[in-house]
Amino acid sequence: MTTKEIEALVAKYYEGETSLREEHLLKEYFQGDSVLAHLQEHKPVFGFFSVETKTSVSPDFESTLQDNIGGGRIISMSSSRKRLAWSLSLAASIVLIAGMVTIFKLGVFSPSQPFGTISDPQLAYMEARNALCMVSSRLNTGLDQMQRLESFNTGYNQVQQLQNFQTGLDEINKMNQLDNYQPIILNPGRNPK
Amino acid sequence: MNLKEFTSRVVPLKNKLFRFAKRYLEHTEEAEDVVQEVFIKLWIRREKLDEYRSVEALAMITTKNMCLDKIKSRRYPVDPIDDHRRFLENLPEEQKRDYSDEILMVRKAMKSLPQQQQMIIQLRDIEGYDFESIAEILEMNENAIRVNLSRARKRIRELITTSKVYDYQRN
Repeated sequence: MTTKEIEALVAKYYEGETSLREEHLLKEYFQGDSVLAHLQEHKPVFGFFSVETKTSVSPDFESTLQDNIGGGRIISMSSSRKRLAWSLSLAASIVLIAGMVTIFKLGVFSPSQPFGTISDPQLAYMEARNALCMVSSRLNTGLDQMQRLESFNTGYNQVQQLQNFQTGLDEINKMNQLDNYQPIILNPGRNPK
Repeated sequence: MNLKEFTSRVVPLKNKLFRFAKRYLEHTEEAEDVVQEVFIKLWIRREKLDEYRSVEALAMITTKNMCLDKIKSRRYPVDPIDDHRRFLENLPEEQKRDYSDEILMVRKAMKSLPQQQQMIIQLRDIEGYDFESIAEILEMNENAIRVNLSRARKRIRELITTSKVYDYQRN
């Protein structure tokens, strides 16, 4: 092949227009030792393609395959794994249900004894009243403090009026546009950058 | 199809399928597992294999689909730096000589391409399939394949020339 032919093929190759036969020619050419200096940059590309075809499975691949499909054993690893997962989850649910049934039957959770320590009803009533009174008095103190937050609200309403200031500011901002046209005004006939 | 036919017609595809799966998964052991499962699937359907126009295309499509499923179910993507390091570590002694620094650079450029373009380069430039078969395997139309092939080849060229310039400047 002449230099011109090779150059044309390389150009065609990058356009994705070469045929398989032409690509084979290119591979052979770049495998050789007489690659021209200005075409050297393409050499590793074709080198990579031929090196990659050497990648192959590990030596024990076929014996594993024989184990998988030979001798009538065709259950794939994935389906046996799925079956294992199934039986495990089934066993787990049985254990769970059996456990719950036993626990409820034994009545571990049902309250068999009344709670509390005071046996005299009159005394119990007094104690409960005392406790509730204390809670309500504390609650009222807290409420008084909360009242002060009211003044915060008033202040907030006043701050709201600042919103008007913002609207004005936006209007003034439009004046900034003027800056962009300043070069045109100063140098008519020249395009602003 | 009996075991003898299966062994002589389907099993020899193992390396092609393996390289294809490895291009997707970037992981040697996972790729081998996938190819084993593809063979098991085909073996289960052995009675029907003769009905297909091309068993090879069927095997490639099955491999592609299994790889895409595997990638989808992954929790973490493969780290490209980790992949490159592992590749160099696991390279058999007799192949170390083949992978010069320049070829490793092409490999890196290839890895940086979008997945579909990598697959087109894999099928066309490495395995030497015609456009019709590539279209069937990747389920794309031939024109899109030509466009992407040209794009991928140009991108690889661009990447290796710029990284050469970079190396030169650094030295």
